[in-house]
Amino acid sequence: MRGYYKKWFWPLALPGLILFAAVVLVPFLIGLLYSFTAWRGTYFVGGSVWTSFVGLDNYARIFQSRQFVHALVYTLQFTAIAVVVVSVAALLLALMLDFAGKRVGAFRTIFFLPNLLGGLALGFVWQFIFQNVFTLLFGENGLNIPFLTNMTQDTTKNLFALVIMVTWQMAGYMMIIFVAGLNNIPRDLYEAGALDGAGGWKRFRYITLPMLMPSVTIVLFLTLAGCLKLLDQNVALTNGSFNTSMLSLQILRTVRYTQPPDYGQAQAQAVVFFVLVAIIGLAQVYITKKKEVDA
Amino acid sequence: MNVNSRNRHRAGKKWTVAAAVLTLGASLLSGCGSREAKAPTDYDFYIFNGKTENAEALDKVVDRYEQETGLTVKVFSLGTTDSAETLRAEMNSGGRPAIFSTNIGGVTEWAESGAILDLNDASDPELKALAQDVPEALRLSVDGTQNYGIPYNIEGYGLIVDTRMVRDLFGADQTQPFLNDFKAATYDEFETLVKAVGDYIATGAAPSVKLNGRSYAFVAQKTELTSQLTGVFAEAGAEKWTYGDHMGNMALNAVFGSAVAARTATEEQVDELQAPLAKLARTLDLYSTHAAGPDGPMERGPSYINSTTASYDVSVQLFSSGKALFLKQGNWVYPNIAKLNTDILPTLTFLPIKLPLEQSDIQVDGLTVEKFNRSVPEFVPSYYAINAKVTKLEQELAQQFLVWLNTSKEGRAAIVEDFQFIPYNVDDTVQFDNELNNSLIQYKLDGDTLSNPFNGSPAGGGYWGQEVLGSILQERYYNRAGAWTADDYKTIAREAVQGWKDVMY
Repeated sequence: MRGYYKKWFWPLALPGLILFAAVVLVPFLIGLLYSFTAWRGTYFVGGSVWTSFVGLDNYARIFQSRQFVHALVYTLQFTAIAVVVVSVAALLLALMLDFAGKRVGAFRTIFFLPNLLGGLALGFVWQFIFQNVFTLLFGENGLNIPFLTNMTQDTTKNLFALVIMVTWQMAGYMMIIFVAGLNNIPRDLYEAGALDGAGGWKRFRYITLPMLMPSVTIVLFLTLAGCLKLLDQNVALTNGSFNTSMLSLQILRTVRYTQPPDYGQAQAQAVVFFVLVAIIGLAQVYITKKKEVDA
Repeated sequence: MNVNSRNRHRAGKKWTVAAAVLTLGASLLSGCGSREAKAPTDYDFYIFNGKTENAEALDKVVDRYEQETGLTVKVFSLGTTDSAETLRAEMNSGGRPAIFSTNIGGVTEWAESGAILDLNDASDPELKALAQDVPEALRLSVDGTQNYGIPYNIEGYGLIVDTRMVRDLFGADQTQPFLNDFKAATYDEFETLVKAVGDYIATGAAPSVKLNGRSYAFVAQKTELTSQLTGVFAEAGAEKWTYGDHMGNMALNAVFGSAVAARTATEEQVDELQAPLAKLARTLDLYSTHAAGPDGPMERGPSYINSTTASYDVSVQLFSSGKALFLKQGNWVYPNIAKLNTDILPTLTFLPIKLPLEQSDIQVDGLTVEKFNRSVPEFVPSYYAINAKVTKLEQELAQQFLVWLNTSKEGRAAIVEDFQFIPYNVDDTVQFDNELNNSLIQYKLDGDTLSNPFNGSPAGGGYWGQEVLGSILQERYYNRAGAWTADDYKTIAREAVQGWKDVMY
C-alpha cells in the first residue's frame, strides 16, 4: 500500500494541485501584487503593473476609512455573538435529538432544512419577517417589545437580526456534526460515570464535552469563518443601510464608492481581510485542538 | 531511502511545484497586460448596450442595418445598474465591443484607461462633425475639453401630475391657467398650495390659493377623482435615489451648471452647497409631511422607509391609482404607469420642482431664482462611445453605424419610434404618444432646463447621492416621527457637504 502511494502520489495529487493553483493560489498571488498598485479593474494607471506601483498607499488608506473600520468592528461584534449562539443552539438541538427516539430522522431533516436555502433567498424572506411580521407581532398592539420591531432599521438591532437569521440557517448543519460526535462517544463511559455516581450535568461536563471537542473544533471553525465572511444575508437584509455593512460587503462597495473604481484599494482591503480571517481561524483551531482528548 | 533524505527529496519537489506555480502566475500576469487588438472572426463589430429600455428595439434596428449594409453586428444589452462590471469584463476580454455605452460618471474610467476615443479625433469626418454638433452642455467629457460620446437620448424629471386631478380641484376652465401659473409661481406660493391641497384632502375645504399672483379657488364639492386623494405627494422613502440623487441634484444645480463643474469643484464651491442643501431639506420636509399612503396620509417613521411599503413600485401605484396629486419622477416611469392605469396616460404632464432659493444661493452664471423654479432637469443618461482599443476597421465600421443611426432618416425615425427616445437634438417636429416626453420637449424648446451636476459629485449616485445624502435623510430623518427644525435642515446640509469633502483628493 505504501509503495502504491509512493509511486502514484504525484499523478494522483497533480490534478488537484493544478486546479488549486489555478483558481486559488495564482489569483491570490496576483491579487497580493495588485494590492500594491493603482489597479482599476481593467487597466493599471500609467499602463502597466509596474508603472502603477503605489507601495503601501492602499494599505495606509484602509484604516483611514471610517467605513472600513466600522465594518471591521461590526463584523467582529457579529461574529463573537453569532458563533456562541449558533454553537450553543446546535449543541442543544443535537442533545435534544438524543431524546427524540423514533422521530429522530424527521427532526434532523427539519432542523437541517434552512441550510438548503441560499443566503440571498433567506435574507429576503427574513427581511419580510423582520420588517412586517416581527414589527406587527412585537409592536405596540402586540407583545410590545420595541427591540424586536423594525430590526433592520438600526445598527444594533440589525446585528441581532442577523444573528437570529444566521442561527436559524447554520444551527441545523452544525447540529449534524455534533450528532455524529455524540454517536462516537462510547456508551460504557457513561455507564462507568453513572456507577461512580456522576449526575446528568457532571456526565455532560466531564464525559460528553471533552469527548465532543473534535466536533467543537470543526463547528467553531466553520461558524467563525462563515460569520466573518458573511455576505449574502447582509446584502439581502439591509444592503449596508444604517451602518450595517460587514467586511465582505464593504470591500465589494469600495469599487462602487470610487470613480474610476479603485480595485487596488479594494484588493488591499481583501488582503487585510484574509489575514484577519486566517489569524482568527488558526488561533481558534490551535486552542481547541489542545483541548481535544483521545478516547 | 532514510527519513532525512526523503524529506529533503520532498522539499525539493515542493520547490519545483512552487516554481511551476509562479511561472504560471507570471505568464497569466503578462498575458493580461499585453493583449493586442485582434480582428473578430464571427462578426464585423460589437455593440455593448448598457440600457435595457431599448434592448429589443436596438436588435431590430441593427437587423435592418445589417440587411442594408451586409455587415454582421453583435449586440449585447444589459441594464444600467449591473452593466458596469460586465462591461469591464468585456473590455478586458478577447472580443471587445467597438461601441459601448457609458455616461458622465463612467467616462473618467475609460478616459484614464485610454479605451475611449475622443470623437474630436474620429477618423470618420461625418462622425466628427456629428460630435461637434452636440451642444456643449450635453457633451461627454472628463473636464470639459473632450468630446467622448454621442448621446443616446434625453431624460428628465419633475413633478408628474394628472391634469384631470387639477381640473377636479380647481375647475375645468382653470386647468390650463393653473398649469401655466404653477410654472411661474414662487416657492412660497407652491408651499401654500401644498398645504391647502393637504387641508382640502383632509377636510374637503380650503381657502383659495395664489399662484403667480392669480387666485385659484377649490371646487366646493370633492369629485370622484379628488376624493381618492390621500396625500399631495407619492413618495418612495425606501429608494434613496429618489431623494439622494434626484432631489439632491436640484440643490447642486444652484452651484454647478454641469456634472463637469461639480466634478472639478474646489472645496470652497462645495461649501457653497450648504445653503441650497438646507433649503432642499426644507422642501423634502414639506413633501414628506404631505405624503400619500394607501388608505390615508403616509407618516414619517419606520414604515416610511420600509421596502415593502415605500418602494418605487408602491409610489407609482399610489400615483397611478389617484391617491396622490404629484409624483416626483422622470419620464422613465411612463411604462410603469401604463401597466397600472392607461386612463391617466393622455393627461400626464411635468411641473417643475421648486426650491426656496434666494439669488445669493445661486452661483451659476445667468441663473435666476425665477428661471430655476420654472425649469426641470434634463440630461443625457447614456452615450455611445467608440472603443479605441479595437482594430481600426472595427472603429471605422462602428463610427459609420453611429452616423447612420443619428443622421439617416431611418436611423432618426428608429430613435423616436422604436426606442421611444427623445433625441438629444430634438426639434418641434418630434411628437410622441407619451405625454411626459412631449412635456420634456416643451421645456427644452422653451430653454427651461437644469442640468445633472449630481453625476459629478463623488462617484455620483453610487456614493454621494445615496450613501451620503440619501443615508442621512433615510436613516435619521425619514424613519422617525416628529417635526424637523431649522437646525435639522442645517445639520442635513452640513453633513452632506462634509461627506463630499471627506472623499475629495
